[in-house]
Amino acid sequence: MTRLAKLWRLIKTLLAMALFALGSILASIILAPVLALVPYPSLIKRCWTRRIISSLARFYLRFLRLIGLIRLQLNAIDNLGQPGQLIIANHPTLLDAILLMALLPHANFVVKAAMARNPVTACLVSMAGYIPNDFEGSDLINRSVEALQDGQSLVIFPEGTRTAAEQLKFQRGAAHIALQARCVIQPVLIDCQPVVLRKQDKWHQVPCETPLFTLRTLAPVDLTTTAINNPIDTSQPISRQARELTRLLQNKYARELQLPH
Amino acid sequence: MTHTKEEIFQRVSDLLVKQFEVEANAITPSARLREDLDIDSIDAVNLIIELKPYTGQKLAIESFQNVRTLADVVDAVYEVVAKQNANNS
Repeated sequence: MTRLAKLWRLIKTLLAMALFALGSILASIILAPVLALVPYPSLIKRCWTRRIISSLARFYLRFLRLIGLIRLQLNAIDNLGQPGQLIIANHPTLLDAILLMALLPHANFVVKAAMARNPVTACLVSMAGYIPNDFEGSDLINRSVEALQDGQSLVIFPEGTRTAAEQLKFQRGAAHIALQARCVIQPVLIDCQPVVLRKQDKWHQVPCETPLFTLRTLAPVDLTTTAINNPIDTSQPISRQARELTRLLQNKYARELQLPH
Repeated sequence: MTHTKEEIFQRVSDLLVKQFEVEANAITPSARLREDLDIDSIDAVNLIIELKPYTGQKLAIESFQNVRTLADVVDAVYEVVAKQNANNS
């Protein structure tokens, strides 16, 4: 890649980051107060907040594609976002959450606690009813199970943070939520080639070619009581079930991503 | 019913191996719950529930706030059991 081309990509990256920062700040300064003040029931406002966040995410992705910063490919996503569905995804890059928010205008999200505390995003996170991941132990589980039983679809990244150096390490929160809610787990695989915006990447490390983000669904894991085959032995103590289920899910991803499992 | 710290240690260790997939050879009093034995905050809640028949009453989750090692767990359980015995006698 020529130095000029690389410089051009760097400029576009800076522009994209500036737009994201500007958009977030504007959304919180303008949208958040408006949404907070209009006299509608909080459930309606929650619905609108999620739809607006989704539209903003879609607009942002469209912008990134338009300026040639990313390419996007979505496969087999028709079943995504069903009521009461627990959606899990691996988390290679910074754009993963935006991708899923763009695709799922009604879903609830378990978000990084920092998002709920950051003054720019805190208000929107609260009005969207997103669940911060720093709730103590069973509070996170209970709140998530409530959301699922309420008929919402819920997105959680089992790793809890972006993948570190090609090593998958799922925490057990997602498994506990699924076992308690007895729901369907819909795994989503996010891949990015060449990979960018990882935890260990600096913003100025631009790739040589336009990264292609692909998103596709994997076979669901059905934990509902009416499921024909029970993937987990439910006669075991719950802590063993959660460990078994987490291993099952992590191995699913490790196989697809061709990582050691 | 009196319990010695050794009995409590044994009981807790059995629980950890049977219900939390902890390796028997990883169990030492100084083993850290989170880093060495892979016991997360949800596990801690379940551990307290499992200990209830043994301690006679549910350990307060607050008493687990400062628990870091297996020895801390034994101490926390011992405190509850000792208090119960004091109340009973």
